[in-house]
Amino acid sequence: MRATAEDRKRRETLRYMGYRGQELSPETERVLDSVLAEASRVSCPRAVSGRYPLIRTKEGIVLEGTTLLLTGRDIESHLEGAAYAILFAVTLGAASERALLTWEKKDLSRAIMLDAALSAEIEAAVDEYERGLVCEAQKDGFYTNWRFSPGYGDLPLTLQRTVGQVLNFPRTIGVTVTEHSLMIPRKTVTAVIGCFEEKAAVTGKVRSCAECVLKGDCEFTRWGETCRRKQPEEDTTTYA
Amino acid sequence: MKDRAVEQEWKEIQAGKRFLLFDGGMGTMLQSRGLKVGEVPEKLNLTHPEVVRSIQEEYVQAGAEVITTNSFGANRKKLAEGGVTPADVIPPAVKIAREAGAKYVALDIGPTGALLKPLGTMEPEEAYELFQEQVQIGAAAGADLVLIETMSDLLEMKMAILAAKENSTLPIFATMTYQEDHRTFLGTDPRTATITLCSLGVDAVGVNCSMGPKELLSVVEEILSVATCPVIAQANAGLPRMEGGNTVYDITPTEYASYVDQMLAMGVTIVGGCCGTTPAFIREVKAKLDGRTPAFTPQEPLCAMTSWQQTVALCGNTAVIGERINPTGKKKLKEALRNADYEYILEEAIGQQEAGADVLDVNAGLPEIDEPAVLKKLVQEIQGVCPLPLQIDSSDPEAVEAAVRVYSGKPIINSVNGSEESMSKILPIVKKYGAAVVCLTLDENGIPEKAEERCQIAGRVIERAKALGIHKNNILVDCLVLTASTNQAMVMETLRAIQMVKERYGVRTVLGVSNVSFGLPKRELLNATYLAAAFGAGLDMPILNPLSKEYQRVLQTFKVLNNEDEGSIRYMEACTGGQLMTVTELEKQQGASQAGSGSAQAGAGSSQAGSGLAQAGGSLGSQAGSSPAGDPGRDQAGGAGNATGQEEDLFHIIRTGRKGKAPQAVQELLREKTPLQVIDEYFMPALDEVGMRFEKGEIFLPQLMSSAETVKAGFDVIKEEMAKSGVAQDKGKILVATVKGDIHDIGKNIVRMLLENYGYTVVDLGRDVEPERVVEEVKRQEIRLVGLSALMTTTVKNMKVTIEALREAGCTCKVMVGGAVLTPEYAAMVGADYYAKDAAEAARIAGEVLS
Repeated sequence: MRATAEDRKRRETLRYMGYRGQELSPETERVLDSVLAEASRVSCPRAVSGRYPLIRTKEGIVLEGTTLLLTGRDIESHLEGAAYAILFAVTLGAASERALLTWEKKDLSRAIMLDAALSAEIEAAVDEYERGLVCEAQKDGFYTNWRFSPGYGDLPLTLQRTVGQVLNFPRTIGVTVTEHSLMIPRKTVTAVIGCFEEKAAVTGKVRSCAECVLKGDCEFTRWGETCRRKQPEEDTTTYA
Repeated sequence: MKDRAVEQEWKEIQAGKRFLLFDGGMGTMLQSRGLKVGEVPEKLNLTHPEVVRSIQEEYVQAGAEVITTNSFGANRKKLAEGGVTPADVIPPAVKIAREAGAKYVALDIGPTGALLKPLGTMEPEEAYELFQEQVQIGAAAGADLVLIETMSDLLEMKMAILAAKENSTLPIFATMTYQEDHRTFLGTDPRTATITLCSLGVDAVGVNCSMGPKELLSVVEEILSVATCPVIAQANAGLPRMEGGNTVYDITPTEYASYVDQMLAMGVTIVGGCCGTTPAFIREVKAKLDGRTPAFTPQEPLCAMTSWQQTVALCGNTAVIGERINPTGKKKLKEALRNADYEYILEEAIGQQEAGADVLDVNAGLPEIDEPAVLKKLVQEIQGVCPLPLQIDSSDPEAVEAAVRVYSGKPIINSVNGSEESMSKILPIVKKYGAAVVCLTLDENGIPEKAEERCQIAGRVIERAKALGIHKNNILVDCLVLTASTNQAMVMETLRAIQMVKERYGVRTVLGVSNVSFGLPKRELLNATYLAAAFGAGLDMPILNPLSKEYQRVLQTFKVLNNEDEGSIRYMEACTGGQLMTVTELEKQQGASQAGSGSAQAGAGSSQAGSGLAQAGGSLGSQAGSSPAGDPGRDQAGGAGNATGQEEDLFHIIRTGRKGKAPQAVQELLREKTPLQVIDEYFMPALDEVGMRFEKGEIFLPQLMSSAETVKAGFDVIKEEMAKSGVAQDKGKILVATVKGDIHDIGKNIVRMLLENYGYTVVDLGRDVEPERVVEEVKRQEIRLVGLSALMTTTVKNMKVTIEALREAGCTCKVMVGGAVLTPEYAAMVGADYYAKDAAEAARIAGEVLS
């Protein structure tokens, strides 16, 4: 039987908090339930995206018609052979940020639990939006790979500001990027997906812990697990 | 706007008796002419003025009377990325619009692009300064009005309005942008925004961008229902839709105009377009205006207060003002205000909100503090966590103004009175910031005895306010109650006065009810009776302690009788929830529990003993497994526990994280042990063990945290004990801060809590802390250990900057750093003395440095 979205969020929330099968007291269960309910209540996911042809330059890859220049070896390899890139962003909205701020002042342990629960919420929201984008790209005859975000590998986090300008954050999803490239609400994800005309360009690629940019610094592998980053159902990507 | 015809035309526009047609989208038009997405559009005013002009000319030809300058993001901060300044791009923007043939030129002002506190890091004053510069340059360049648009943050909008008001005489049009849930991105609804903006005195209020005109109809309806000035609507060209991976807007100009037609029928008088609209749209809209008569009727101002999130309106209902944030007679609150300990005050705010307060009174009146600064900070902190409207309470006009200025909404000012000095100082502030105000019925001669005289004072203030343009619905009269213990004969006179002012002037009333019982026993009883009587006399807003059960009985029951609690639903809930008990019920319950308590307690006692044993066994077992050598602290605790029973409990209480039980357990221990012994023998070993179990993955974060919070609860008892005995328990002071630019606070807060639990005094500077601030405090407080936190690779560099600033200033303190992206190598690179991989490590470092 397939786990419901709620079950999955619960499981992910526990994992983010470092849960490895320790005993959960009824009290912890109760608080967890209430935190999960609050996380869902304060989440109002909004998303925006654009699909751009790519211009490869000496300095990096430019999304045509924009000022966004993607730099670094990792994004180059991510988009190798791609005809287009989908640039997108998903946010949980200001209410999530306010809830976090309020609990940080009221009750730190609840704030930490809520932080984890909201991380599970944004992951779920991003997964869902990504599935829709991939579907649409497939309809237009493209093969796609997975999402890659600023901050992964050597793709600089400082790109967030330009990403925000290109996707017109203030009007589209109400996200602010600070001078230090922080996005507020914090529960916001931006990413790039490659769109390929040839299936071979995608099937050859395997997403594995061995190639992960977090290799050596991953909370999950430390405990003998993986992040099990989800892929669209029909995807055959294997996980190490 | 010099000539008379124009002046007359504006009079009509501002009265909603004449239509005004704006232009449509600019960004989309520029992009279709080759502007790259992400480029600074305002630079085109310098590089390609002809492109901007040609678009605007098309709008003029389509019939637009107002052309909006190409200056949406022309503030110093945003333009810096393009290497230009407002002075470079705004004057040409106005000139181009004029050259395009605009009848009127609207200086376009969009959001700053940065987020204000508390969600972001920008101070309201900084936003004000950015807007101020735009307004000054735009007004000097000859703009005819200021259009402040696409705002999501009510406070940012307020700053822009104040900047426009204080730096020009131009009409101000203010529009915010709403989502499909009828809220801005930051959570403000159209009704709340409209009430707030109208009271700030804008010339037109409304909505732009957001959605298509069809979806905006209901938003416009909400705005019109409370608008006291003409309403403006500039919709997008429909809801955005994805096509080939790109966003497109796709309703036709004809469809667009048909919805605008509906808006005009509803009463909107100022229209135009936003994203995706083109001159073709404006031409169609123009056709709808021709030969039509405006249908706008201004609403009478509501008696309402707002926060950024909600409106409290008095329309026959009652509302409670929570009185607890007032240091008078409250030692703890005084202490908190002096030490800028806002945590305690925020708890008071949240507690009152949860108890059902509708508005919170905020008072920081202590003789020895800088009241304007503290009251302002207090308002900012409270509105960051609490969505209730606030009542700014001070006798110092300067403090009142400082606080209302940064308040995100329409506040109540508490208070003005009938004295000349008060009226001349407070009423202009009320007018300027669009507040409501409490009017005390006293003057230079004190509080009159008779209701009639108090009524006369109210009348005087209402008249004076009217002369300044303050509507009587913004005046809440407080007829003042004296205490029954000293002025018994005058208590009912207050109620007569309430009736009288309401009848005579049709205003709402407030009353600080609790005064009546001062000096008498069982004050709550007297207060409750008086509250009921005051409601009977017509009181609208009592100021009281919402946490009082006696008050709650009156409030909840009166709301039934006053037909406010529809279907008595909330009353029933309170009854079944056990919040409202009659005396008979209470007696019954007490009788039953007394009879049964002996045996119940015995039972609990024995079961506790049982679980204690089980736990002891369990912990012995795990101890044997995890640390056979044992640590002396725990053995000691365990041993002591076996001897007396209760001491093992504290250890167990901490391990299981039951923070409610900690204070009592600590108090019991303090009968036999010194505070330091409790810390060393219980807190430390328990924390060490919990930390170790976390490290090993035996427990997870929430469990670790509840143990830490349990120690914190116990520590509060210890601190009080030490304060009483005068023993200073100071293991040393540590300063912690999240560096400039970073807003991730949780990690640092965990470290702070743990360090406090280990007995250190922690000075917490919060998040986004300037390096200079760290240096200043380190010097001032002679700090020997600093903990810096940063969570992002982009902000770690500010650790380096901060440490360098400390070194340059000659501070010899040690610095430890921590945060998700840090590594020992990175820590060394930024010049830190220590790398703390987690909170436990930070405590260990503190032990080493401050030993």
